Amino acid sequence: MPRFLFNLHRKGAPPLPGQHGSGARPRPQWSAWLLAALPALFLAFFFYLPILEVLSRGFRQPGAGFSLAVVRGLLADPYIQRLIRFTSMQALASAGLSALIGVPLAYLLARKEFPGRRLASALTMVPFVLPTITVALGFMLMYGTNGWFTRAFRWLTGSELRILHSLWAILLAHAFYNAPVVARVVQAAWEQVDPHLEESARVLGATPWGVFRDVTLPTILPAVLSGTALAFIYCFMSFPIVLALGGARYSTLEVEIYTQVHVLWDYETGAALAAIQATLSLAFVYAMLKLQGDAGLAGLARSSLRRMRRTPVWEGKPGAGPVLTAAFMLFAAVFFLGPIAAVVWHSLRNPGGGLGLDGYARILSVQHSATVGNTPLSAVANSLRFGAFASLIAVALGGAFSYSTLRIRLLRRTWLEILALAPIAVSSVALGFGALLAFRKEPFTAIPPDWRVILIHAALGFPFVVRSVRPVLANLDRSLGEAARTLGAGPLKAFCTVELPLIAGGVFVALTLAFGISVSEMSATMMLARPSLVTMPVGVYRFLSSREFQAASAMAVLLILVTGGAFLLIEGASRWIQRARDSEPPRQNRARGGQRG
Amino acid sequence: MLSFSLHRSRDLAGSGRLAGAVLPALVSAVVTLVLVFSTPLAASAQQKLYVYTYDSFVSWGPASDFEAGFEALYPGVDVVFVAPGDAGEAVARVIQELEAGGTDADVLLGIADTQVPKALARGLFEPYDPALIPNLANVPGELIFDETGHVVPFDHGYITLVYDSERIDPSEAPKTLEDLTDPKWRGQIIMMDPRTSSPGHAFLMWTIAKYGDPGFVEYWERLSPNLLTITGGWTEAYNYFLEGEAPIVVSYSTDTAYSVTVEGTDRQRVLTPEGEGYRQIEGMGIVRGTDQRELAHAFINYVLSVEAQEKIPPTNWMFPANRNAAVPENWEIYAVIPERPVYLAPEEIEANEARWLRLWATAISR
Repeated sequence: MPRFLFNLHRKGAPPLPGQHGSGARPRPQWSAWLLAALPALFLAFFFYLPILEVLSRGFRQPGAGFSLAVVRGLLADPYIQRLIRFTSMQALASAGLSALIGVPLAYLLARKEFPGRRLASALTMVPFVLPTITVALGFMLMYGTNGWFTRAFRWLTGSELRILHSLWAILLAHAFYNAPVVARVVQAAWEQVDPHLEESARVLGATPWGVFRDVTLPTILPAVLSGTALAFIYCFMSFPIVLALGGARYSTLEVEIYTQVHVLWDYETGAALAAIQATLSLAFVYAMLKLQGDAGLAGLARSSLRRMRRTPVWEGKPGAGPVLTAAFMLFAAVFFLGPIAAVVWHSLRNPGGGLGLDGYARILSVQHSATVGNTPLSAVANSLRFGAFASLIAVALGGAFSYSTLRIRLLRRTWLEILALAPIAVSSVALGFGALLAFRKEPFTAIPPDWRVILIHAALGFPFVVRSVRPVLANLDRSLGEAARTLGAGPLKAFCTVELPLIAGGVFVALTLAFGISVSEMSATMMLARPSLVTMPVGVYRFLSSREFQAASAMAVLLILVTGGAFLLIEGASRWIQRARDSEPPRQNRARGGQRG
Repeated sequence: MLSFSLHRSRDLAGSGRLAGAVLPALVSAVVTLVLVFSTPLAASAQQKLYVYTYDSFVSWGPASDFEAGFEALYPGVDVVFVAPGDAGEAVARVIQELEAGGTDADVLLGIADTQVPKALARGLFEPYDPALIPNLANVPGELIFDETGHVVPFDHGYITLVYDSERIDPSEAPKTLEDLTDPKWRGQIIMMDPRTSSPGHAFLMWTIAKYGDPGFVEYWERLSPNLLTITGGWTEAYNYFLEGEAPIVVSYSTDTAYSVTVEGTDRQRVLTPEGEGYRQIEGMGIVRGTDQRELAHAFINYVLSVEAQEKIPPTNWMFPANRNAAVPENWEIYAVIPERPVYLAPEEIEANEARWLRLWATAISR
């Protein structure tokens, strides 16, 4: 593929028709400002004000007002420096590994057709919602001394493999959680790539690898960086998974924050550490987003009304390609489904030996929950209710934010995006306290407990929405919407009937991730919910604290089934909308569009 | 309003313009939200007593029995248990709520003895009136660790080692803390992080009591190669132990009693090196600023009653504080009270904890 074609569109090149380069920005619209105000107010009241109140404790000294003394003291401490080094290194490595696994997975889900693809797609999303303790269990049963994988490896090679209790276990578990996130964000961008570009490149004689390197990669790169940034932030704050799988020798900054706040009750040091942690994590992400600004072919990957056909995995010329695809599918099946299958197996195993359904009988018994006035099944209802409302609010606000920030200029866009990411970059210890503070002031005291949880979950889902909607929105060909307006459609109608269907892929990924984050969240839930309220992950921990390991696994399996079902449902809705889009005009494109997944 | 908004979006979807319906649906969801906020909560006529405690006390422990028992004695009272996490997190929660401007908590149940000086320094508790807690007379003097009259003990337990008797012959099991550093146990022991786990904290204090400060640092450096891992919490550690990752784990002296009673096996055996175990006393107190002082006293008195205390061993797996409370049959055989309980003065822990934890963290990662 001749690279000159793309150089045209690189930074500094004159904008193509329909492309708004930095010089040709449309004038700010009032509607865009209004759209931007909603998420801004939301984040201000339910995240920024309370969290700044918490973090400001790290910048005060008795009788001195503002002071950097605590922060400076911490940064000069060799132990803290070591924590910072380790935290950064493991987060970079984990995010890299997540991208390494997530991008091929996105390829498989976006471009390949195979039986059970949609089920596989929903299942690979499940790790994202699993409680850490369940992941620790699944990993032990896979990679422990007597784990399935360890035994298989021993049988195949005759040598011992020790993954658990090492740095590898931490990195793999982080990838287990985050590769699905990267995959989802990338998949949405990949499905959106204009097939014309790749076909033209092939016609012009490019090799498949050349097409990928010069056409596909540059167009999906913003999404790859977007997803990797989410993974990085998540791993930077990791704490229970690090201690459970690697052990205390691998402490992160978050462990120290927890210690300062929960064990030593030193709020000043805790707040200063949390501020350092959030700043560092967002600084790394800032660098990543800058990289995206420079490397991405902004505006090239125009979303097309045509969609790429998925090719069945068994199709294509024999060679390295199909072998690699098959090898990756096997790897993904073992890597993602192995620990999940192990948890299912554990839930069926009786403590005394043999298999049975005792764990399930236990979680379905009303008698168990007399203590909390709640049946475990109501935990399912609570999780679903929180997840549904929180993800809808997050998508509405995150969508409004992404849409409007592309149209108005307030701050540098990267800064705005950093501000939008902050909710997930703040230590969950600080977030819990901030959540408590958020609802102590009039008029927010009137908000009932359940809705407090939902609002905080929506704030946590917000960054995921922005990161998954932004890449597809940036690729959106705005001339289409403008054409609709020229033809007499109002701005809302033009958006809903022309632009929204084009970005639907990203919107549904956003919905999936925001739903997932709500279902798996625990610290704000525990902080804000009614005392008797139990969600599915809280239920898992309740059973564990009761030493009912088998029932805890049964509860985790219930969580897997319910969220897996919800992911399937969201994907079904996504397909439905996209089919609605495909059946709308223009028809000549549809005629060439070929078969749709 | 909710049904209206859902209805509306369905109508639009039905007309084949699903895409066009998404944004209005989202907008109406937000509108719904605002309306839901404006509905005031129904006020309850019942007198409520909020008891903050740790999660296992509620999900597994005696909370439901206590609630029923107390409400039977005091009709019209509703006991509400709030369980924000483990014992440390429950205390931290009350402190955070006080810092944020006020807490619902009337009674805090489950504070570890080691945390009491810190809690007192923060003014967490109101002093109790012994005259309102007659059952206190049946609590042995050595358990009443708080001489300032704020915190009452309700049970006690011992952190020891537990080993897998199918992998280690009882005659071969370690006899002293020093034996744990023997190279033959390399990678054979699982412990918990004292920063995040209460048994882990107890074990660290035990080594400090035994080897002194700073002698414990050198002990941990020798012990470190034998530790397969140091987990964040007891649950992961015990799960690893049960699945055969390693044959020795730090745990509770009632573990064999538990596994015999519930699982029908005595494969997991309690080990008390030189007859020692680290003593943990759990206390309860009246939270500062409560408007239920009398009811809180009555609840504390109830928890110390023989009726309530006899519920503690089979549900909370700790020893009762009331000397007249009977323990289950199996306990006489399998639950161990070490001959020589080890403990540090809470004040000493309070004064040194931050430094000790840092020394420990450095020692294990050396």
